[in-house]
Amino acid sequence: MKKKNRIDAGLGNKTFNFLNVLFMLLFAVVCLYPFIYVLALSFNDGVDAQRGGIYFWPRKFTFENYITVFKDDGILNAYAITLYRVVVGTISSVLLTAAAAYAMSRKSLPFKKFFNWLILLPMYFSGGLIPTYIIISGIGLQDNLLVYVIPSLYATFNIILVRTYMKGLPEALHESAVLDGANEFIIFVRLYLPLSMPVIATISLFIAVGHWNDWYTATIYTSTKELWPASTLLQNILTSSEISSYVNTKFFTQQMNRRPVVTPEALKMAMLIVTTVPIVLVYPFVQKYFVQGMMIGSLKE
Amino acid sequence: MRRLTDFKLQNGGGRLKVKQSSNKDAGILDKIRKNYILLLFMLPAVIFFVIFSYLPMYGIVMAFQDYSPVSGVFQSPWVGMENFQEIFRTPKFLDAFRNTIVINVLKLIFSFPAPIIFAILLNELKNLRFKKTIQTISYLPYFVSWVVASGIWYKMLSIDGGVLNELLMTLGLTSEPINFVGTPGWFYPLIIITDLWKNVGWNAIIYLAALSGIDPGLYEAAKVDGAGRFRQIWHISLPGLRPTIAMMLIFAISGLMNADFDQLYNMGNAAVREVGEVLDTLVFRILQTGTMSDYSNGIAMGLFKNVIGFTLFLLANFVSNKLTEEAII
Repeated sequence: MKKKNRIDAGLGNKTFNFLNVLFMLLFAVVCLYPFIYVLALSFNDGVDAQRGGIYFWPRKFTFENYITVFKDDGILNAYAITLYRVVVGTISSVLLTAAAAYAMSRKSLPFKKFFNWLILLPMYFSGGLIPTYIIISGIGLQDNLLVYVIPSLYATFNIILVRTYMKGLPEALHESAVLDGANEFIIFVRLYLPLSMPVIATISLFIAVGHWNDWYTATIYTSTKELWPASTLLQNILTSSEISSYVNTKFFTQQMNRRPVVTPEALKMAMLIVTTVPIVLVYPFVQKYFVQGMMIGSLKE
Repeated sequence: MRRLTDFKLQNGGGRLKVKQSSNKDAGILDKIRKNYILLLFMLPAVIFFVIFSYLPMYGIVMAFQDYSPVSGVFQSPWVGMENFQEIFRTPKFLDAFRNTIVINVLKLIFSFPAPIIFAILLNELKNLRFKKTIQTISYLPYFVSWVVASGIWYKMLSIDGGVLNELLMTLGLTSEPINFVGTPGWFYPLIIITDLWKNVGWNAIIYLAALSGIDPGLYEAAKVDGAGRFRQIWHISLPGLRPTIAMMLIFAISGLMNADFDQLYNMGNAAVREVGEVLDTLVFRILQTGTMSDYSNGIAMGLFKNVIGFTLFLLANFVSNKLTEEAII
């Protein structure tokens, strides 16, 4: 009787494992397939794609869609702006965040309670979109490339993340540096910053991906598309039926008599891939940092 | 003897607090001088938070004004609660309020438990490489923006040549392509499914970490006692996740007024606005298309949303504190 039970349990176990693996495979397919579909379309001749039936692999292979993307001045300009804000925005934000986090990790910081509340309160309450808009445009950041950098310099979550990490470093390090005559600035730059690289890498990635993906800031604070980053341009191209107001239409007309032809739809697909690829290339290598960051962040203070 | 007892009682059972005399007050200037570098490190942060977080909070007073940009915040006439009375007479606002609640309740029902289930199932996988691979794949959609995600899904669900409609027609499940993105009835399923697709893997991380903290000996003991997989999950995994679930539930409930703006703005379109417009997208549209005189109403809506959100946060935190001793603050 007991033995039979155990065999039943063993069988149940096997069925469970089998179904679980099957479910996970299905899940992986659902996660990945949308990207594969768009990838196939982006490499396919635009007119041919209108016939449908492309699911995994391009039927009429072409690079023309991508060539068009990289030839269009408007699109290139948008990617240049994205690059600018990812580089400038991330570096300035990370350095300032780390400095503030270092100060807040020190017991000797005067007015510590005050600073704590100052950065914590905005996590739970905010003025809302319109008052923020009035302030930001009021200080001259409207139609200014600095609007991509300055209003996102600090985030409470990132400060807490770095501070928690720095608090975990042995206090003896700091003491011996002080004995060697180093001041707080030297200790921060030479000692704490290098030692905090894992958490610095984590927030750099959070911040960089945020910059890469942000379409919203430009929508509110700029009035000409010359100032848009790629994500905002893509958003407008995707939602507008008149693609010609954003991209040079000569690509669609001039090549009518020559195959393959670029269609607005095919161009969208290529732009989607160009916007996704950098993230897809980077994330398998950096995901462990993200996961680490999630973990440190979830620790209760 | 008697006096001693009294004294003890007065001091809460005999613990004597020794107040340390300190020279803190005298040393504050000294402390500032000694730590001026640390204070310099804080200076940009203080300026930043004052300008970008606290000044906008002051802007909330505009919700009680008839704001006009000519007179500014300080000169605009006060109107009391008039703006609030007005927004509650605006059908657009009432629709957006209702949609925000409906979408969030749906997400609470479907999107909240999904990462828990996913984490438990992932945790049951025996092959570690397979587990890692699946986990890595599951994060991918989280990293792309909703702009890209909506572009991809709109193409998949398109009525001319979208893969899903072609599949359904090949299988004979429908004779006409279904306009998934342009039909109000399909909007909520679409929001839930794309939300799950994008976030389940990522949101599962925190539960997976909690599961890895459970003593493996508990599972061994349960096995010896003859407990099957489902009983192990029910009696060991789930109780082990309880504190994490409680914490995440506080966040979910306090976020009840924030429908994911990025998702709803990008997945929505004019055809589904009656069900897809939420408070955040409505305020955004007021800012985009409205005149300055609409701002006071927009701010009133924002304030209404924030106050409810903050109250929910305190409430959820309090209840959770009472029930499970898990609290955020």
